[in-house]
Amino acid sequence: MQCDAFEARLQLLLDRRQAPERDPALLAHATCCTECHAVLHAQRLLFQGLELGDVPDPGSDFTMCVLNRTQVRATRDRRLSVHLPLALLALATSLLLIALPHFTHRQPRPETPTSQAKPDTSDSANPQDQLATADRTHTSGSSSWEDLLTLYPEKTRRRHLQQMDRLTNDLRPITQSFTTAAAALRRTILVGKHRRKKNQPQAQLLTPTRDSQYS
Amino acid sequence: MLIDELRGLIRRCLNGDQVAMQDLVDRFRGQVFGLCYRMLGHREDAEDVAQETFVRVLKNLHRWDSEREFEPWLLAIAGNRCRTALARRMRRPTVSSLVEPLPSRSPDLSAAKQLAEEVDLALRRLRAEYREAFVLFHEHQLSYAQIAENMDCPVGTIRTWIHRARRELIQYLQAREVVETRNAM
Repeated sequence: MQCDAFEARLQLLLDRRQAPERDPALLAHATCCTECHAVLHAQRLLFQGLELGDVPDPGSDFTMCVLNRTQVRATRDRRLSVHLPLALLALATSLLLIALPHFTHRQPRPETPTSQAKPDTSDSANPQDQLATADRTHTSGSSSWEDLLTLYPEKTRRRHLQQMDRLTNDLRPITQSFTTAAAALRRTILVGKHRRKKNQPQAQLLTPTRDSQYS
Repeated sequence: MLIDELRGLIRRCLNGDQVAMQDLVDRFRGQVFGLCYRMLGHREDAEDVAQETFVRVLKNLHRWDSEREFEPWLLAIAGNRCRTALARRMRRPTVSSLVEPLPSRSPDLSAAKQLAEEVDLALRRLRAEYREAFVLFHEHQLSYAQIAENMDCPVGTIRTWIHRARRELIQYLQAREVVETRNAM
């Protein structure tokens, strides 16, 4: 038997959980070859050492610790299962409130004869009229919601639009406050991102100086 | 424990019976802790990971396929937790994990204890996969197929890992002159 064959045969026996001593050919080779004899001896010692090696017992309170941890984990999971849907619902509602104005129908107001007749002079224009003009300009394009509603019959479409307009009007104070808050937040973040350049002067105080007071 | 008895115990655990849970943990804690200790080589870490294993087992007990053996499933979870703990230790090594433990070579220590310490040290020097496969095969008597399923590897790979583990352990024992020491005695 060659040393390679010895090695393969030894592994095969160990794979079958059999003692190498059960194979006479293996033992015969080990008596002739010093290296293989050392391997066989080391193998025997290895398994002796494994059997002798005592794994310490876990602590006496091991089982109680496991049960306590299980209960704590279960309580946490239960709490999470209640709070998580609520948090998601609140988030979804907030997003809906913010996004709603973009999807509502804004029908362009019909041009009144008076507004048509009146010349559009920005200097003399009433601020309310200017606001109305701006609103018309802003909402003249059709929204995706409108596109969707064109697929419905006219009567259904009108009913839906009326309902949606009513809902929008009811929710307008809330959405406006959300939009204002979001804009303020965006402004704050953007301002925070811009760093002052090296040579850029800081904002000056607006209190009048002595010179400017008398000049 | 008979398989029917075990199934009954698990059924009681699934119904929330605390006594049954306690029995289940008591029944398997030695095996789970043994694997964790062999894998991690640190008593406190092994205890923590073994507890975590049982917490997960009790939580996911409904996922256990009652047609299959319970013990390999349990040891697979323990092995996964040990690998996670080892990976965590690699990322954030503690002082105790950096200092390699040396077996005491004091003359009053019995030869058997010394040999056991040397083998334990040799095991710790193995790659984690080799060590897990070796311990599951030789200490927990799992088959190659069961280990392969546990570790999500082909059977051939497991066989190779165990062969290499044996070879490396022997080389280590020879390098530490444990064999010569024993021969001389």
